Parts: sequence; structure tokens; C-alpha cells
Amino acid sequence: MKSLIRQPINKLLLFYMLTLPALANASLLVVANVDKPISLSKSEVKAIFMGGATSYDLNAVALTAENKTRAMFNARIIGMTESRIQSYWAQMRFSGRQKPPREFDNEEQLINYLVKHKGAVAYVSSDVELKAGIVILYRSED
Amino acid sequence: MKSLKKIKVSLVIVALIITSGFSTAAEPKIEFSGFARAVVGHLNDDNLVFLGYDEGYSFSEQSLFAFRADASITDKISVIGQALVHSSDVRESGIQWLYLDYRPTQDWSFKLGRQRIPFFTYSDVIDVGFAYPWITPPIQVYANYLFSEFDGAMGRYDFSTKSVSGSLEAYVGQYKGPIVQSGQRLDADIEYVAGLYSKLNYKNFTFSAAYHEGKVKVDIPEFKEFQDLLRMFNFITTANELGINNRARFIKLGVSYNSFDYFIESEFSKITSGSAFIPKVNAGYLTLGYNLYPFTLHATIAHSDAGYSEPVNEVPLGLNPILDQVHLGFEAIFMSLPIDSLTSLTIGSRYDWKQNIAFKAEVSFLKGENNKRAFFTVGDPTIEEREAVLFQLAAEWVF
Repeated sequence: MKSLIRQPINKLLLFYMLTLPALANASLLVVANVDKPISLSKSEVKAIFMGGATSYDLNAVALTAENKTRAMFNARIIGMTESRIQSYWAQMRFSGRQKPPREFDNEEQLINYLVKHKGAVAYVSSDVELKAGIVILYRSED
Repeated sequence: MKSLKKIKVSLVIVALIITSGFSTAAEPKIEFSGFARAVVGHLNDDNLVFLGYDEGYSFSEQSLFAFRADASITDKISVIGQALVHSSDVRESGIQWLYLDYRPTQDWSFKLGRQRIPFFTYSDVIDVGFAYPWITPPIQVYANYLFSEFDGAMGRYDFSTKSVSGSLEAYVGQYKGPIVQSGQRLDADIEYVAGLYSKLNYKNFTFSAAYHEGKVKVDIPEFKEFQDLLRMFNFITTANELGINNRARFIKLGVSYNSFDYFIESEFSKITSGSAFIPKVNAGYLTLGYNLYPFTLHATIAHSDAGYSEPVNEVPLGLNPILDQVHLGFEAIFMSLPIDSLTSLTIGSRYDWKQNIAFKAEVSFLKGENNKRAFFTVGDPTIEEREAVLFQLAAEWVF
């Protein structure tokens, strides 16, 4: 029984030891499948991923809540914890205002979706390989 | 119920007309979602009842379940319905939302049908406990609206620039159905209700402002005979004071600040009307929250100051004993109207166990104006004190 309890704790420690330094150094990119280059401000990025309007024809897609790049995006761009964001989306959904962006499990799936969908916009870590046709709209170096 | 049937039929017809004008490759699809909450509460006072909570432990005051269906007809048009089952006797179960949603562009959206009024930040999602930090949102602000639904149209415009983003909502409609006024359920005819709701996001701040106006018509059956008597004596204005046929106006201002570590939320409201039966209320709250993911700790100070305008009493005093009785009887009705002036401090915590399930605990220290109602139901009216502590636990779920 003891070893069963210890195992997940050790895994968790290992996860943080391996991912935190990487997270601290990685840049966050907002990328999209668009024809013309666009430069977004932090406020515009926040609006796009929180269901707001943009003057560009962009459709946001996101990562699932467990993803570490999403955690980085929440902290650096949205400025809210995951629970506050989930509360916000509950309010938007059940008041009929907005729906949250479609979610994907990992960044590879996001990039593949972007390649196939014109106007799709997503956030990814700078470690992720961008494919042809995907343009960087915003870079966070925090 | 009849009006709801009419809405359903109208929505289907409108949907068919609009869709016939669009060519689309999108497959129609239906999405289901919903929410539920289980809330238990206890009040530490043997003479007072607050929100239905007394010295016992009650699950049935705020627990509920709601189911929502969202049927996309094209990629721009959908029909949305939401039904709710409530455990409280005071709240009505049934269809809360049933409307056609049309989004011609990313900036514009329109709703047509039965909707809830966005009086304040959480008014239209007041049943979705998962959407806010408290178990019970500050009652001083959130209990003061007379009606919560309307049948009509709403337009919304979203905008965004390099440094600010926001939205503007405008709606107009009407409502026929029960309203709760001074703790009494009455049949009302809201001839029109219209409003504007604006929101502006700048950095971590969100500013909101709203104005709502409605023409409320309510006959109060228990005063019918008294009204007839006054009319017989030709005291028409005074007789009219015993019913509601007036405009009510709501103004609200809100500021919130959200950071990764903490948040501040505040709203201030003012309700005025031409009726001596509808209270004039100034209310507000300030919430400070600390995020310690997956925990949230928060504290809220809230206050309401309520009163009534003086009714016109045309009946002369001192001319004859019968008229004196009528005069004093009329005054007595308005003297007995409940005054909900209350100050409260609420301290609470929220634990987000899963992405869609949260548990909350909350304690509210309530201090009302002595000898007034202050949102309480009073057992022994000779006891003037209006002070109690409310304890609540809740489980919130969205799916």
C-alpha cells in the first residue's frame, strides 16, 4: 500500500523537476493559418481566447486544461487561474454569450488542425515545430 | 404557459424562414449541457429565517438541476432551450431560456425569444453556482429585481482594439407571469422592459455599466375592495396607489480586477420607481478574492439601503370618523411594507476538485436594521433584533 501511495508522488515531483525549468525558459507563441502577417497585442490575444471579437477573421482553438502550455498561457496572457477561467466559461455558456474554444490534447494536434483550417489561431510553446503556412502573430518572452 | 407555446411555435417558424434564405454545408447538430448544485444551509437564530434557512439544516432552498439543448441549424443560427428544476417552493421550475440565436459575424449576435435579463453581472446565470465564487451572491444586489425573464429580442456587439475590448448589449421585450414583490407572489404584466449593458476590459480591469427600465402593472387582489371604496369617494389617485402601474428603473456600475493571484469584484445598484409599493434601493458589494489554485478564498462586504416614496393620500383627516379610518387604514398599508436594509460580511472558500466540479463553504454575518424585515422572515415580531449568522456548504457541477 505504501509503495502505491509513494509512486504517484514521485512521478509528480519528477514532472515538476523536468517541466518547470523548461516552462520558465520557453516562449509562448500565438500562431495562425493566415495569408497576410498580423501583429496582435496582448489585449487582442486575451480577447480572442476569451470569446471576444477581433478585427481579423480568426477562430481560436485551445489546449485542454491539464496541458502545461495552457497553464503558461493562463498565467502570462489571461492572468487568471484555471478555476477562474472555468467559472468565466460557465457564465458565458449558460448566459448564451459565448462558447469556449474547441480544445485539443496536445500541440501537435493543434498545429495539424491549424494547417487544415484557414483563420484558425492557437497558442503553442516555442519548442513546437511550426509547419508551412503557420504564421506567428504574437510572442510572449516573459 | 400559453405565451411559452406561442414562443416555441414562433421560433420554429422564424428558424425555418431564416434558414430557407441561407445555403449552408453545415450539418445540423445538437449539443447538450447543464448544471446542478446541492446547497445545505443553517441559520443560528430561532426567531429568524433567511432565504428559507432556519435553525435546521436545509438542502431544499437553493439546490437545483438544469438541462440545456443547443441545436445548430446552420453555422450561424441555432435554437437554444434551457429547463430548470428547483428544490425551493418559492422558485418556479420550468423553461428559463428558449430562443433563436443568430450570429451573422464575429462581432454581432442576436437572440429572439425567452431570455433572462442581465440586470447585474451574474443575474442571468444566478442559478449557475459554478460561475461565481460565493454560494449565495450578495442578496442586497441580487434579490432586488422584480422579474428575471423576458420575451423579446437582444442584440450584442463585441469590439476589440490594440488596448481595450468590450461589448454592448441592448434588449427589449415584455413579460407576463408571476413576480415576487415584498415576499408575495403576484401576477404581473410587464408591458415593456428594455435595457443596455456595456462592458469594457482594460488590462486586468473590467468596467461595466447598465441601465434597465420596465413598465410594471400588478393588481394586488387583497386591496381590490379598498380601492373600490376609495374610487367611490372619488379619491382616484389614492385608489391607484394601491396597485402597481409604474416604471421601474435599474442602474448598475461595476468594477472588477483579475490577476493570477487575486481578484476584486464590485457592483453598485440603484433602483427607483414611481410606485409607492416598489422599494427604492441603493445597494452594493465589494469582494476580495485570493487564488490559491485549486482553492479560492474570498471575503465580501455588502450593504443595501431601502425605502419607499410617500404615497398620495387624498383622504382628509379630521372631517368625519369614517374618512379618518379610511385615511389611517391607507397609511397603515404603506407603513407595513417591508424594508430590506442589510449589511453583511461573507467569508468563503471554493475548492475546484475537477475542471467542472467545485465545492464551497461560506459563512455570512448578517446585520439588518432593527425592527425591519432586512430580508429575514421574522417569527416573533416583538423581537427587534435582526442579526444572525448563516452557514452554507455547496457542491457545484457543470456538464
